[in-house]
Amino acid sequence: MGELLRGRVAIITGAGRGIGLGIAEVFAREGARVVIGELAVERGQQAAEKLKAAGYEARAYPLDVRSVDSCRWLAQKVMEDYGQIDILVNNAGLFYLHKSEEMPEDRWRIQIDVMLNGAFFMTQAVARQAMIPQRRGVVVNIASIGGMGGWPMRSAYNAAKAGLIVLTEVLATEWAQYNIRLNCVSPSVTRTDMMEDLIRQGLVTVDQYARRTPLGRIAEVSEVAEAVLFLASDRASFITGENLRVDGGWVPYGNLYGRGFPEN
Amino acid sequence: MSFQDKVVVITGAGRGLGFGMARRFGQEKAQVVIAEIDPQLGERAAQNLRQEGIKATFEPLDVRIPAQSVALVEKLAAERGHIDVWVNNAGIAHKAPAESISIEAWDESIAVMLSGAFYCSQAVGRQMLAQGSGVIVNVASVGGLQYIEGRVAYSVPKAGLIMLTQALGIEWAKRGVRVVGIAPGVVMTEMVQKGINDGTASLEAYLRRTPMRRLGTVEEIAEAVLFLASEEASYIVGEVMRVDGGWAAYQLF
Repeated sequence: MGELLRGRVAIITGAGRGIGLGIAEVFAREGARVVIGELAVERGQQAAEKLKAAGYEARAYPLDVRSVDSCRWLAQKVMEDYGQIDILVNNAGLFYLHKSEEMPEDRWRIQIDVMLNGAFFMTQAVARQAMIPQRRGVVVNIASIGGMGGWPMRSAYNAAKAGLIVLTEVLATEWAQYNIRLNCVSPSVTRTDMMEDLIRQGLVTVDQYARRTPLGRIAEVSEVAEAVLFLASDRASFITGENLRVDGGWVPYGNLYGRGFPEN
Repeated sequence: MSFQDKVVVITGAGRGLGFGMARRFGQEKAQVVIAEIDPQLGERAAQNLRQEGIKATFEPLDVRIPAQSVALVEKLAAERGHIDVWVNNAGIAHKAPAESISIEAWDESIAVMLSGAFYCSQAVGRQMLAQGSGVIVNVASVGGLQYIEGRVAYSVPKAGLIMLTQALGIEWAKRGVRVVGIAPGVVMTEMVQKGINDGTASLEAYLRRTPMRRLGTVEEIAEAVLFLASEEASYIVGEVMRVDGGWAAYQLF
C-alpha cells in the first residue's frame, strides 16, 4: 500500500465504474479515504464494498451533479462524516453521438448539465464548505481530448469538455490565493464500460481509434488513474491550471493518412 | 515507480534544475550521468551527489556538437548496456530586444536549446529504438508558450522544443520510445538570479504574475520529470506538462 494520499478525504463523482472506479482504486491504494458520489446508488455501493473488502476505507453516497442541492448536500454530509475534504475529482460523465443538425434538445442539455454545470456546482460546494475555509485542497477534472478540437457528431460532449478545461484555468487562477490547486486530465479513448457499450452498439471499433493513435492502442483505465493520482498528490505542488493529456500522442498528430472527415 | 539501475542522462546537470533532477533520480536508485559542458561544475556536481550515496558520474558534453552526443551515447551503451532516460535540460538565457540582440546570442540559443536537443535526441533515440525502450524528457518553458519582451532568443527555441517533443513523440511512439516534456514557470536558479541581478528581471514582477504567488522549487520541477519518465506515465506521449503555479493559465491584467 502506498502513502501518497495517506488520510486524505477524496470525493470522486461517478466512481461506480469506468475511469472513476479506476481512480477510486488507485486513491485507496495510496491510503486515501475514498468517497464515491454516484447517481446509480447500487453501483456506487458495490464499488465501495469492493474497496472495503480489499481492506481500504471507502463509502458511497448518492449524488446527482445536475442538482445543485445534491452537490451541496454531499459536501455538507462529507464534512459531517469526515470533517475535511482534501481532494475532489469531477469525473461523472456521459456521452451521446448525434449529428448536430439532429441533436435532440434533451441530449444537448444533459451533457452540458452533467459535465460542465455539474462540475462547476460540485466544485463550488466543496470549495465553499471545505477547501476555502481549510485554505487547502486539490481538484482534478476529468476532461477529454474531445475538449481540444473538432470531432463530428460530438458537439455537446466536446463543448462541455472544452468548457471544463477553461473553467479549470479560471478557478486555478482565482483560488490559488486559497492554496487550492485545480487541474484537468484529458484522456483519449480509454477501455471502459462506456466504450464497451459503444462497441456493442456497433457505433465505434477499438481498431479505428488505435490506428489514429501514435502509440497504436487505446488507453487503459489505470494509465488515466495514475495521472490523476500524480496531480492530486503533493508531487504536483506547483502544478495548477494545467490540462494534462493522457492521449498516446493523439492531439499533436496531424494524421495525414487517415480516412478524412465523414460526409453526409 | 522504480528507477533501480536505470541509466539516466541529464544535460546541463552541473547546477540548477538539471542538478535537482539528477539528485531526484539518484534518490530513486538510478545511475545518473551528469552531462555538462563545464568540467569543473560537472565533476563537482557528481562528487556532491556521490557523497549523498547516489550513483553519479560526470561526462563532458557540448550539446552543440553532434559528434559529442553520438560519442557519449556509444560510450554509455558500451559501458552500461542501456540508456533508459535522457533529459534535454541544457539551456542558456540571453535577454535583449529583438532589434538589437547579437547574431551570436541568437545562434548560440538555437544551438543549445533546439538543435542541441535534437542532436542528443537523435543520438540517444537510435540507441533507445534499438533497445525498444526509453524515455526522452525535454525541458521547455512557459516562455515557449507565452512571450515576454526581450526574450526572443529564449522563447523561440523553447517553442521549437515543444514541437520537437510532439514530432519525436509521434515518430517513435510505436517503437517503445516515449518523448515528453515539461514547461516550468519561474524557479530561483542561478539563471533566474542572474537576470534579477543584472536588472533584466524582477522577483516582485515574477511573484505578482504567478497565481500561486511564489516561485517553483527545483524539487517540484524534478518531481514532474520523474513522473513523466516513470511507467505510471506510459500513455503520455508528445505532451509538454506545465509546472508553473498557474502562470500560463492566467490571461488577465
